[in-house]
Amino acid sequence: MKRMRVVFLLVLLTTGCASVEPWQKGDLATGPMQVEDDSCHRFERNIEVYREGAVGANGGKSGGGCGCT
Amino acid sequence: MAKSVPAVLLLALFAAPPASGIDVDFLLNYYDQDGENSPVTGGIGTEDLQVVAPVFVIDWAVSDDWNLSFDLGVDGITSASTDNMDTEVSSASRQDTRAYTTVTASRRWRENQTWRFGASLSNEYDYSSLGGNVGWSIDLDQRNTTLALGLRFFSDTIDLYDIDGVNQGDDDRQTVDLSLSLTRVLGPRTVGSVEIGYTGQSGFLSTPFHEVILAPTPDFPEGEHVTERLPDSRTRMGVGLTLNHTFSKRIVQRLSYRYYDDDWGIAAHTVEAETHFRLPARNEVWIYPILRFHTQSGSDYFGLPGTFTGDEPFITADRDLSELTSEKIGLGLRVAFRHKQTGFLSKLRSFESRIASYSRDDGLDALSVSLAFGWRF
Repeated sequence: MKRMRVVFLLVLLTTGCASVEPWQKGDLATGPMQVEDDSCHRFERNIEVYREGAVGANGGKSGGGCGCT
Repeated sequence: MAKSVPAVLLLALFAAPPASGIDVDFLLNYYDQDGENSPVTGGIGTEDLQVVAPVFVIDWAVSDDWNLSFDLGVDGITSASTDNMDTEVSSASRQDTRAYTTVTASRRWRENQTWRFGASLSNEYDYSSLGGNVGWSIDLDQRNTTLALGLRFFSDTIDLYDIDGVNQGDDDRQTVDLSLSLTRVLGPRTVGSVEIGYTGQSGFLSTPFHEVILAPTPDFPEGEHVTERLPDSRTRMGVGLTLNHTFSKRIVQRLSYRYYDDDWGIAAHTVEAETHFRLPARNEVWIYPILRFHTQSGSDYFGLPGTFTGDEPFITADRDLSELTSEKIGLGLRVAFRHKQTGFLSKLRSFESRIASYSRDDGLDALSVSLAFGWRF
């Protein structure tokens, strides 16, 4: 329950900001400002899935292959 | 009226060239690790392993609304530890190959929404997998907020090669991933996101050739070697936060934190930071250091060699499930070609590279190197 309250608070904080107009978004268009991982980073994440039992639930690989060596 | 998927595929094959062209990406990944705690030999043998993983990705803007992407990859794995599965070591290392493919279609809908659905297939000598995914996202508030929902499903079949290398039939494993993410522009120079993920797994979740060495007994003075046993279900939850901020035209900071919790007793915290520096160049060139720190509590079922009696319902010597901390440091390079190139480079859209050193506090060390070339035709 405490965890859900924290998530709700974060959602409230992130949606409570003023709108940014399209012409103000130039700095947001660069590669490093994108929220998604770049393609090379995804490969590292797939490796971390195997080397750490605590990976999953983060958009990384959770099934679809073994690699259990 | 919306076109059906087969109609769109036919249009894609025979219609005029697409408005936005075709993006082709080639990735080449290399991974090398070594350690002395392999679960294949009960937690006391070499973990020497190399992976070479080339991938082709094709992204095709079929029309203004429809997009198709297709990827095809191979993981070439060389492992010294799995060669020790059978009683007679046949060579210094064992080769294994995993091939996989994914097809995804996405469609923009009602100006501000996108639907995505896809399928995946992978195969290696003892493991095959079928997968599907569906996703939906909506842009709100002049595209300052994006809400996304995703569902993925995998159905896997495992050939059960035991610790003596003998095939004991097969079994299956199901995985369901649910994700909910909210991305918000927080200011002209700041963007943040919150992602909540749930993963449910059921079926055969052990690795059939992982050994556990039991405590010594009069019959087995050095401890009996038995197969790993893990529960047939697992539930994982994760919450991830990302914050990207532009300090100046030449400096961008990326920060992320993730909390993880599962019902096998593992809880974890992961922090990642990358500071991107833009170089003075004609194209958009960024170079950045990579830092990552991870700490996790151990699973209830993990034990060091010689600590289990064999009466426990679940046992494993797999250090991936133990209490651990890990650190990763590296360097990345990202180039976006904004100006038209000439000759061989004329179609090149982007180039990325990362090199990272990974170390775990149990002695496992690894190196990963990735290269990605992107072309637009």
